[in-house]
Amino acid sequence: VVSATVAGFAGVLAFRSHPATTIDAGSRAAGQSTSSGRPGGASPSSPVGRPGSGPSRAGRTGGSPGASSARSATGPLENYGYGALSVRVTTRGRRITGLTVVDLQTAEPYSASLAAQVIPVLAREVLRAQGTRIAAVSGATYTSEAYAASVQAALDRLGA
Amino acid sequence: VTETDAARPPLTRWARPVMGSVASVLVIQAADAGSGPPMEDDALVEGVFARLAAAEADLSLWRPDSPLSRWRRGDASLDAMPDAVVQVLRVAAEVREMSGGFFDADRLGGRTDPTGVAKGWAVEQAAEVLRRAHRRGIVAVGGDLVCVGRPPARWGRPPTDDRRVELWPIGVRHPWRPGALARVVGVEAAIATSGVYERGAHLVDPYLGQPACRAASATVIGPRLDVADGLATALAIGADAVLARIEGLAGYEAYLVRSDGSEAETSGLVTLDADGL
Repeated sequence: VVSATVAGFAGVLAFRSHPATTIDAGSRAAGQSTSSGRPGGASPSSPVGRPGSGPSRAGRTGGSPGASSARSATGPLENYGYGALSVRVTTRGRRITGLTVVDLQTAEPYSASLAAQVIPVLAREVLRAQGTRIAAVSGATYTSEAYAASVQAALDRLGA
Repeated sequence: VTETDAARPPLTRWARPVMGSVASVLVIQAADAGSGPPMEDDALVEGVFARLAAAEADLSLWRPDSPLSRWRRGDASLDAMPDAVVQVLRVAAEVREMSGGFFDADRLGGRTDPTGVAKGWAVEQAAEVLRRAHRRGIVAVGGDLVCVGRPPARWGRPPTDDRRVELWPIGVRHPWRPGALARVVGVEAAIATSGVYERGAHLVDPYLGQPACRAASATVIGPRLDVADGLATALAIGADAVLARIEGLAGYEAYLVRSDGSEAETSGLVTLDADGL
């Protein structure tokens, strides 16, 4: 059973569907705190979630078979009105360690450039969300929702 | 209680596509839940998603056969409408009044389109499932969300500040810096954000009858998400004029990022730092 840890940004970046896939969110692990600045500077551009670092998630990581080996799955192409994208997710134990857009289709160049700008940030959001204390985010975007849906589907596949 | 339990709130999130968007449900685990979410949580969350699906079936304007779509076309009378449609139209009228006409369901796009409050209404209904089960958590669709109960202690203020203990730390997406937060605000019940984001103006000024957006990002916080949803739409269109009206509404607060990047807020808005403190 793979359960990837994804926290924060609930509006668009929260994942879970099958009972077997526990996506567990929460504040950063104790002792790992580094404030990322003031509001307005609250960008998720500070250190991306460090896989495997910090205290282990007691009672979860430890008991899970294969918790330390990396596994990957690719979500289906998710349509978001101006294009479609598909995300490949890599997990190690209960953490998401990698996110790659393996397919991006857009109708026109503007959408392509927009997506190119937005996607790296979405990846950082998901990774960093593993250690945030924000409960959720208000305000969603087309691209972010398609991205979240594809990540979710990939996680479902890993949990299947 | 393990160290891990002390360090972070045990909670579980579920997500699912709904209403042309992504719905997510966050549930704080019961104190005795052990290391994983109890199976009954799955049933609870199924109930939440079921309420969203039911509301979508009644209120979707994407589906030509939904009751609301049929009513808009004049194919059915209001008497024949399910409760959801009647209530949403009532809230739309209420919000039009509250916003000084900047939320005008009758003029948006030329025909009655209460979708500005429909999503909020649906999420509010779904959150009721958590409330009735006496559980704490968040129900969100596309970034408009309802918080139920008190936040986990780790997310609250130190107990010296009684009020903030009750507030959930919610990030407001930055209007043009993808992935960044414009601010972290304290929310007791509901928050809705309307904005231009990736795609330019899509809102219609009911007074001008054409697309207009004086705000880059418009956030409204308050006791009810249907009202907050409609007011956020109005705030995005009317900006400072609507902000002034919200200042006068009991229980509602607003946060505005204008098109030029300058910001304004109502006096009761609670801003937390980037760590949710």
